Amino acid sequence: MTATVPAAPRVIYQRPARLTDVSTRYCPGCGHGIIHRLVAEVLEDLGVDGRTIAVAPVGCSVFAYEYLAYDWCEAPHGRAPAVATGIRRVRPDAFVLTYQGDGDLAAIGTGEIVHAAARGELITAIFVNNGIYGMTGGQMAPTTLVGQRTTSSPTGRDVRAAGYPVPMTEMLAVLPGVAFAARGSIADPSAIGRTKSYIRKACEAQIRGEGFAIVEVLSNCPVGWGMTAQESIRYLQDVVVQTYPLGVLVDRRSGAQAGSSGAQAGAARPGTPSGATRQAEPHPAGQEA
Amino acid sequence: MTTPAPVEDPSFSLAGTREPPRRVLMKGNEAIAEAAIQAGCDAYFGYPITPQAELLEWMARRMPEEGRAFVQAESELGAINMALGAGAAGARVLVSSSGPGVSLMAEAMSYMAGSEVPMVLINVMRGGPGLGSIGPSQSDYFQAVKGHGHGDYRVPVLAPSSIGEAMELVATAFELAEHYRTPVIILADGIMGQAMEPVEQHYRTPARQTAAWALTGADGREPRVVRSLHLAPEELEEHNAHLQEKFHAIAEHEVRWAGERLDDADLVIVAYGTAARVARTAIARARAAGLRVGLFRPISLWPFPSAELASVADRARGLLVVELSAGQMVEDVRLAVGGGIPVAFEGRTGGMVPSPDEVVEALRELDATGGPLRRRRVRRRPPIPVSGTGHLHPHEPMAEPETGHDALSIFGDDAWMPHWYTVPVPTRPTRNGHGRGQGRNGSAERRPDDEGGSR
Amino acid sequence: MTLSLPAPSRTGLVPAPTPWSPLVIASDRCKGCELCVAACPKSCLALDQGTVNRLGYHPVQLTDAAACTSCAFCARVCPDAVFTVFAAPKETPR
Repeated sequence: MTATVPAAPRVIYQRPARLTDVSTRYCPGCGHGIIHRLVAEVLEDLGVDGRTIAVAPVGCSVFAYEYLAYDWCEAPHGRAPAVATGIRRVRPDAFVLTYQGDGDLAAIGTGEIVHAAARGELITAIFVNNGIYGMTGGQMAPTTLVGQRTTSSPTGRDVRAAGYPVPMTEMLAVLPGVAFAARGSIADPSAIGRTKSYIRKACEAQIRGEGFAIVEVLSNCPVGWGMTAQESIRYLQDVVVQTYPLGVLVDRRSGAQAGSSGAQAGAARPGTPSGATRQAEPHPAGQEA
Repeated sequence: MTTPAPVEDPSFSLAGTREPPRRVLMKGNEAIAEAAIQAGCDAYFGYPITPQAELLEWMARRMPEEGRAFVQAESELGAINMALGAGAAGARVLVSSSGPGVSLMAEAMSYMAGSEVPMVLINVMRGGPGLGSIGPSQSDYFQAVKGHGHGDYRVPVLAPSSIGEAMELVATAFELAEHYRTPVIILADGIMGQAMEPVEQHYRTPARQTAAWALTGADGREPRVVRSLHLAPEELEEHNAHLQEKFHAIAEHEVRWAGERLDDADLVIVAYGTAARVARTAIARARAAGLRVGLFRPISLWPFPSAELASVADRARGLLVVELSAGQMVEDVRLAVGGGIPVAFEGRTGGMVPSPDEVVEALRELDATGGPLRRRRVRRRPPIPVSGTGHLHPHEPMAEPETGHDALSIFGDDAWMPHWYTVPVPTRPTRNGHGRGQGRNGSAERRPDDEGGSR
Repeated sequence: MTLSLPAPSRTGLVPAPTPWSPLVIASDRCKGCELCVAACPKSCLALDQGTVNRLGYHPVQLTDAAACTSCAFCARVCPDAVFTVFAAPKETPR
């Protein structure tokens, strides 16, 4: 008579393998940690983490290469999309990912991100929007909300002096080269789940050679906003989404159902029959190391 | 990667080295571009700017033919950063531009030096500063040799003086870049880029070195990171020491220069690039007029051939530096000879080229005086008297700082006290009403403790 | 004082606890941000005021294992990936 053998308890959730087992430098409750984990999960699910070459920005997430075990190249502030283009053009077999903050992408790096998108560069851009320059001490960013206090907008962002928060991903979504553009948030478990699905679709757009893909993730900055972690999440849910609505902004991927929530129907690209995917040009065979 | 078969193109023949070299009339920019392709360039990133545009156009047509990467970037900023990415991924990368574009590339050059990314940058120089002109110039010498970006780093700089030599140096530049893992600059100029010359096509493809550091995807191996960030000062100092070792090695092994008719010369012209070609004609005319003149032509501007120049200078009575600029390499020449013999200068700026006769005239003056030429008076600011202790105030002797007395300054002195750094405003003739010392509204700014220094 | 961090281990797989618990918490990496506390539908997480971890924070702890349904909401919202979540063990038939 054999004893009942307790089955090994099934693992519901565990840290993805490529998320290193170190304590990050991010502040308690900072959304970067969550977004790093989502990226690691998606790349693992899609099985591309072995051929990923990622590009790190200058900002809080400059240390991403210590937390995500891929090959990384460090880009000067704002230039990640250009560095990624260089990698993309000589390593057609690689999966190329950029990870940028809002100062990096929407301020100094606007030229590079716009033209990478316009070229329909086959890269996936992760754009973390926490409305502030975190690493340098909490200054106003292009995405800082009207009236929001930061160390460089001490009396609140005044539109007469500093203009309006930049809807970067909406601007990029109109470019024909963009195959997928969406905005998610890390405010609660369901939002995190949706963000993960956006990241997955953006990565698939690259893998299928359908064009440039970007996912903007609304994140928090407890220290920079002067709030507790839980307060910053509520601020994200109640205030930030008013200026930065969530959802898929454009989905030109083949087979994408037109009119998915909030998305412009796959606006046809000039010069290509509507809905037809942009054939991935035979990028040159790069050099094998 | 095998060397691609030469492309039979009706408009010109791209015979590789296999066929006997035949002379082909080629434009400098195009010859340089083709040399880069034949040298195995995997990726080219550029942006339109005169006088280098034809190089970009040639690449635009030929690179896709070879199945290689070509991107016309959104700006020179985009181009140089694409090069950083491609170089970090182990590709053989070329970027070309002219002075104004290279200025935009300073930051990325520093990053590539710091993260040791190999690539080749060609600067087809034009008149400066600012938008300047599109005429040939050598006024980017300091930019290339003394450093464009921030931080302690040097970058090998090669200066061809003919289209043929430029084609050869492209291959050399790729070799240097990959052997030492560093960006390499080739300084050409508008004449060399846009003039056409008969060229013998000796192409060379430097061997590939497997790059154990290149980014290919961490598949079954530890991840690799190409970065210049070293947050801990101890770590960055160690990294700097490693870089300096590399620069010393380059300085020791990679000096390149050429001498012409130096054996009996007692006057020596020091010139590179297009200026050296002008000098060659001037030397011929001067020798016909009885002056024994030779040419010392640096090919590597960094590392500068200082030792070699010094030994040549030992046997000469005077040096004449000829540049298409207001005088930049002349400083390195003076450093090299250490005041041993007179060093005169002849140059033109703005895109103008010194004529051989002007150079011969300068040689005659140098020969006649046996000493330095009449120096063009350059208005120098009166040197601010700085005594050993940095005491700037002529009247008040600085009180002896009691050590430890002043806790506010980490050096324990009171140098932070304002009276030490009020600099008397030097008097200067006002130029069209906006001389220093006058406020923007024309009224003289009186500084409270100013002892009449400004009038 | 440089914080000596544990060498990165790539195991990823945390062994199931014995006796069984729905959660394994890497409490030395918790920064006490309490996002999980707010997200837990069964409110069975709380900071352990009694201990301070290596980073100087009160780490989170499971206060009521029975109430936990292994929904993994805590793991979803955790910026430091401290949670490993296990399903309730099922007795395999003889």
